[in-house]
Amino acid sequence: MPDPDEQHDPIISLVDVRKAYQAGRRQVQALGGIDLSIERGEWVAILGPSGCGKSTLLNLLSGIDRASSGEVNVLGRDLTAMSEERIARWRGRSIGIVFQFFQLMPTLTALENVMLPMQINARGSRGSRAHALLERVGIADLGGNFPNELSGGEQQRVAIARALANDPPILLADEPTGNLDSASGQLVLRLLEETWREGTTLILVTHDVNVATYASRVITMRDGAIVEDARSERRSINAIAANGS
Amino acid sequence: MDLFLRKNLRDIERRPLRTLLTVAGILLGVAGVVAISFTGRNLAEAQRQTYAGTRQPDLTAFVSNLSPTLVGLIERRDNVAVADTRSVQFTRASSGSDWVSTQLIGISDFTDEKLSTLDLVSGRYPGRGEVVFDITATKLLNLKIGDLVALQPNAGATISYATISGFVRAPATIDASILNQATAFAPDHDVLRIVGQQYDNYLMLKVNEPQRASQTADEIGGFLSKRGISHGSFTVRDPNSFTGSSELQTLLLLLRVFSYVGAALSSFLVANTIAAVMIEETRQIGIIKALGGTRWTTMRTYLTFASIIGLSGGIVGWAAGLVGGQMLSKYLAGLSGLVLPPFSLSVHELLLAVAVGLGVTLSSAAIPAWFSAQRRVAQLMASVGVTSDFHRGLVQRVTSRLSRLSAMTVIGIRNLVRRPVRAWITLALVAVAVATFLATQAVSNSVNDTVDHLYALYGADGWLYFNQYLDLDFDRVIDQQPNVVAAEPWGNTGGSLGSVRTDVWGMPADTSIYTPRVIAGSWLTQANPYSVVLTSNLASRIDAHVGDIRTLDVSGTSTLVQVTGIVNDASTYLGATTTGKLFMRIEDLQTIAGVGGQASLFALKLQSSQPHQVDIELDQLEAHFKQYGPQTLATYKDQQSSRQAIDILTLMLNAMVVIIGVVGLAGITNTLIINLTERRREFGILRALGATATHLIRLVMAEALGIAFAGCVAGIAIGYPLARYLVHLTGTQLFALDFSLSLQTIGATVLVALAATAAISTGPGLIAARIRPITVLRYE
Ligand SMILES: Nc1ncnc2c1ncn2[C@@H]1O[C@H](COP(=O)(O)OP(=O)(O)O)[C@@H](O)[C@H]1O
Ligand SMILES: [Mg+2]
Repeated sequence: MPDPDEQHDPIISLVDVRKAYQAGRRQVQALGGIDLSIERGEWVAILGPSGCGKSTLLNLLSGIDRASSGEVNVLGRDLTAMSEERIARWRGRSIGIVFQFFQLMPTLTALENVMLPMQINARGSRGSRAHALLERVGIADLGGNFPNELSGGEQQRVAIARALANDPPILLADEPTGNLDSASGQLVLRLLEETWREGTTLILVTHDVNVATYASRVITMRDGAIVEDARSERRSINAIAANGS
Repeated sequence: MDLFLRKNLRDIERRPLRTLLTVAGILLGVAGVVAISFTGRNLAEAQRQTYAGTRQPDLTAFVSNLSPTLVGLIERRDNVAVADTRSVQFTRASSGSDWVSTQLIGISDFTDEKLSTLDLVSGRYPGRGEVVFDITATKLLNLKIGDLVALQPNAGATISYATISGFVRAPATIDASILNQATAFAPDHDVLRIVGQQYDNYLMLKVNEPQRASQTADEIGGFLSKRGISHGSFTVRDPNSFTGSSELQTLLLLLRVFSYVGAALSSFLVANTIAAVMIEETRQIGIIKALGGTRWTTMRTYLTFASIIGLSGGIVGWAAGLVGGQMLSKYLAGLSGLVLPPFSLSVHELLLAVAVGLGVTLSSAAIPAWFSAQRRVAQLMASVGVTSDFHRGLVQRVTSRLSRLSAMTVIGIRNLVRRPVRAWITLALVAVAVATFLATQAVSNSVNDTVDHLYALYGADGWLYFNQYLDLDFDRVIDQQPNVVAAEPWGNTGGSLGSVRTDVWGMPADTSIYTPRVIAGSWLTQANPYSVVLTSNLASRIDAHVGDIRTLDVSGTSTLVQVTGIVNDASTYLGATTTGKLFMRIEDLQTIAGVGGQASLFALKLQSSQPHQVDIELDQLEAHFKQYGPQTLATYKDQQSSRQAIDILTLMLNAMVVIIGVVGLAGITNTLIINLTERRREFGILRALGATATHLIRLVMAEALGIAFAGCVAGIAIGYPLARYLVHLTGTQLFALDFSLSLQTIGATVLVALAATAAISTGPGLIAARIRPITVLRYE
């Protein structure tokens, strides 16, 4: 439940954002005129069938991709006006990303993977903080393992710990449970919920209606456009788990 | 078109940079081998043509007053075919600035030279009051046709002037810039007037049977001595050891070794590329096999790919090699006065190019292709091309300590062990490059140090000749000059021990100017028979030992001498056609030569060894002893010319090193680029986590430096024995060398290798930084 003391200023605002891809000679309109504003502390689920442009939207928010036209304003910055290098630096500090396929560095251990963003952004006390983060996601004893020595669920937990390494105000997750069995999926969602409770703005992309119901706001997309934007009474994951649903 | 061929061509198109690097590697390897082979063939032919020319004298000597009657008598002697004479004056020339020592040669009829004919390069032959210069003199003097040059035999003498009417090239003479001496030709009467003589003083003979030339030289020497005609020692031309030939042979030998190293290096590049292609296409190979392709089908696909690369590299390398070879042989032939035959193609080099280009690529492609073709379909299909595995091992343990400091360094170094074969190949490549670099440095250091040592044996700063004999103890008079530290009467002439011709040196037994490095027996003493000391190379050539008694032939006289010692002194001068040296007391030498108690040559040790100072002091001596007809020679000039010849060797070796260095760096770049293409996704992740270009460059650099460092260590390990071997090889060709390879050189090599690696790795680093996460993270 959102805190009533929370300020209601948008930390993300998109105005008439379009994104077209060149696929061979054909142009694919992945996003067609998106207007969106997200406030601090929200948990937004972006829901829609495969290929409707969810990932594209998320990638614009993290600055991994650039809009063809329109305004992309995140945390008070106009991403369309920033250089690739400046976006990279900004992203390292401000955005945590959790991918569907975990995307851990195969040559680094779990602990080292978590330390990586802190190092990139030159933060101190890396070892102890990385350890604490792994403890928080419940796999402190696996810190010395390489990714290929971990299960999918464990890898995704490392990925979440890594996304949180720099205490980012915004956490983006693209189908974080898409590649996991349901038990691991639940665990991952619970970790995300915990993070959100601590004040992180969470934007979660999914094609799974059940996953979307945990959010405080559900944005439904179809063919590159927002077709529904609903604020709802969010359900607690624990409550659902207790009900055995 | 064959589908496989089409696929191959597309593969090449798909990875242009990698293909280009690989072809460039082969090209360099092939070009090196072709250029060396071409140069060797060309120079051998040039040497044959230049010396087979009937115009080259077999015997030459300075003989005073060669009257036409005397020449007629000599020409009628046994084994003499043709006799011709010149008047030679060692003088100095100036075109307005510095004096350059010059050999002025008088020719009586420029249109009818019997021996040692000149080729007119530009202008016309000189008339009275004119000179022509050897064209290479323009490297020392600023000369133009029509210029007036000043000629002055020595500092005190009167200056005469002559106008330049043209330029010539005398075949089989060394480049003026190497000798540090210009050569000029003028009408005979002009030169005789300067010399102050009636007749020519330089005899040139062509013999009927060259194998008896040495014997003929002794006979004529005896004939002249008997008639009381003073003469210098005869120089016997040896077509196989012409002036500068040992340097040239050494160079070709070393270049040949390096061209093979180059070819080997390029094979590493090919193996690396093919292995990477196989890894990238593991799944495709699986598909081909699943569709019923046999092991051979697979092999064929990749061997075709290799052939295309190998053939194109081979052909372009052949062309480049011919161009390079032509340039190299022109340069070398120019320096040693060889007349280059017209450019000709030989099937030999084309075959060599194709053999190296195709052979190297096919054999190095066959190995990875074979291994890939062996694997089972299921295994191949399951592969995602890039394995994301990383296992624990030594590298992980070692680097885990580092990870707190720099994750980029850790990732870079760990990446190395993910593709062990590739890392080993690259490491081998770097190691060979470093080893070759070290070996080359060792060769040039050793040659230079040895030359330094040799000159250190001779403490003389200059020589003082008189055109008349003076008392042996005239040295005391010279000693009294303010700038002379020591003066000693010395003698130098040719002689032979049995059939071996050597250089005979006379000096006081208590010489303070020569430092003998006695390795057996003892230094000269007054004894009967005369005591002689041999250099070790001469002793081993004639199998002489301390205590042996031998017959020494000097100026037509045979004398018994006893070997009392053997010294280590391998100094040779350019164009030496004799073996080693024989030292004896100046008193003994002059007695044998029939001028007992007299000398005309004095070795000088001066207050200062600075070139400029030496010049001034020698000029003063010349002026002071004017009444005895003095001439002086500064030893630094002699040293300079030896060093210049060595410098050419060093220059060529360095050029080779540059090529090998480039191939080595191309190898590292190739590996980095292959690694990069394989790990695009990982760079994407780092980018998504906020890594900047600097981070990614650091990562790639760590990877590159990791290989380079390991390669340097291995390179030092194989470089040391290689250096020993090459120095030994050079020593057998040139003269005995002291091995020298300093720690500084090794350290500098490692530093240079690492710095160059760091520099080139920024390229792939920037490519890595340009990878956009969106393109690589989208699918997996
Ligand atoms: N790099 C690309 N090139 C061409 N088309 C693309 C590219 N990325 C995405 N698309 C297209 O854009 C649309 C939206 O893709 P995406 O955002 O990945 O969908 P979702 O995440 O909702 O499944 C799809 O039709 C997809 O094919
Ligand atoms: Mg998606």
